Amino acid sequence: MGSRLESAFLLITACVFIAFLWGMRRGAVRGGAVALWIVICSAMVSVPLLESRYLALAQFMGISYARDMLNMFAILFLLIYVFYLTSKLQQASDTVEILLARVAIAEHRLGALAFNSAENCISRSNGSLFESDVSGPCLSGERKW
Amino acid sequence: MTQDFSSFDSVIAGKRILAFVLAYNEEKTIRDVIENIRQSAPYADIVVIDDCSTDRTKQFAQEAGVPVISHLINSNNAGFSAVKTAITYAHLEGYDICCQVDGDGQHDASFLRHIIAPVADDRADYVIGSRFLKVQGYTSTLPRVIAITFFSWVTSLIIRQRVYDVTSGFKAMGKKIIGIFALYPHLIHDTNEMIILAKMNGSRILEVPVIMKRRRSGRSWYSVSKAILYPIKTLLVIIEVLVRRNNA
Repeated sequence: MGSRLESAFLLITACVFIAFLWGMRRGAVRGGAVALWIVICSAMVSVPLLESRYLALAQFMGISYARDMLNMFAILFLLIYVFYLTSKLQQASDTVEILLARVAIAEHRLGALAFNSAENCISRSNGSLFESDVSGPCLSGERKW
Repeated sequence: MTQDFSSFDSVIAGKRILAFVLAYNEEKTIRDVIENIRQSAPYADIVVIDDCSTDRTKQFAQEAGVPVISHLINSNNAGFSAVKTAITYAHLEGYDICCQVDGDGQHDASFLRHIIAPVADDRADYVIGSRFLKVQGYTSTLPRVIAITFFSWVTSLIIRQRVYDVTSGFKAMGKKIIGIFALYPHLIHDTNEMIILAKMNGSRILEVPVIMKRRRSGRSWYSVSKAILYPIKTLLVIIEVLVRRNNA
């Protein structure tokens, strides 16, 4: 790898690392994503720094050009990551669907509860507005907990 | 085919029945649908599942005196999320039987007893109101009939029971099915999948002939692009349910 390419590679890595730190600072990158980006940055830095090791590894694997090996690793990583994202997306979609149902039902139940409560208030106020201290949330004007 | 419903009242006695209406922008039909159910099935509680309509569907349903469960966002999956919401609701409220009616007026509520009776007298757990068992009234457009026939054949092959109308939305489910689908909502994405899952879990499936009407207003969820993708999606869903290890 030429010195210019090496410098360019390190510069790109530095940019990615700064973007990652910025994301982490803003809370956009959290948990497992922090580890993932540290690994990605380390892997990128290792390319120019450990060039000879990569060459040896490529030779050991029977790959003539180390660049092909790196491409292969990159594609493999992308495939695995896209698969992981797909499954996570599906999980999120399922969760959203379940939550959608639950929220709709909860909202409906709350509405029914509020309606019943209001009806109780009305019926109570019709019958004995001032004679009792039966505590309804809207009869007495203040709640008794 | 004439059915004897003389004992129907005694069969449903003590059973809590829910008729859920799936609605998305059905303001022109929703009141009639509710009224029809009220007249044909006074024994059933009605609930409208509104998939975040942008028109006055919810308002009209509420004005008709029916509880409405509204989604916060439109699920954009042919009302299937609404089915899950309805089943979850039926499970939480402890209904013995729930039946699905579309809000577009295609389903004739007078046939509700046809699909409820087999579940109520414990002959079946999942009853499909079929357009093709005895062809009468409106069926569907030719491309859809071809698709339905194909998928009915595939599903029949898998469950080893002849089913003619797998895509029918007019169906009744017993407590067993309600429990399974409510507890594992993430497993169901399609009517074919529901039938296969029901069968895999040892439920009895029955098909009864019903007459359906033409959609009176509104637009079908199946646009041209969705209609093209539908067979592919359905096939994938069938493959998925066959490959999946845990089917409830």
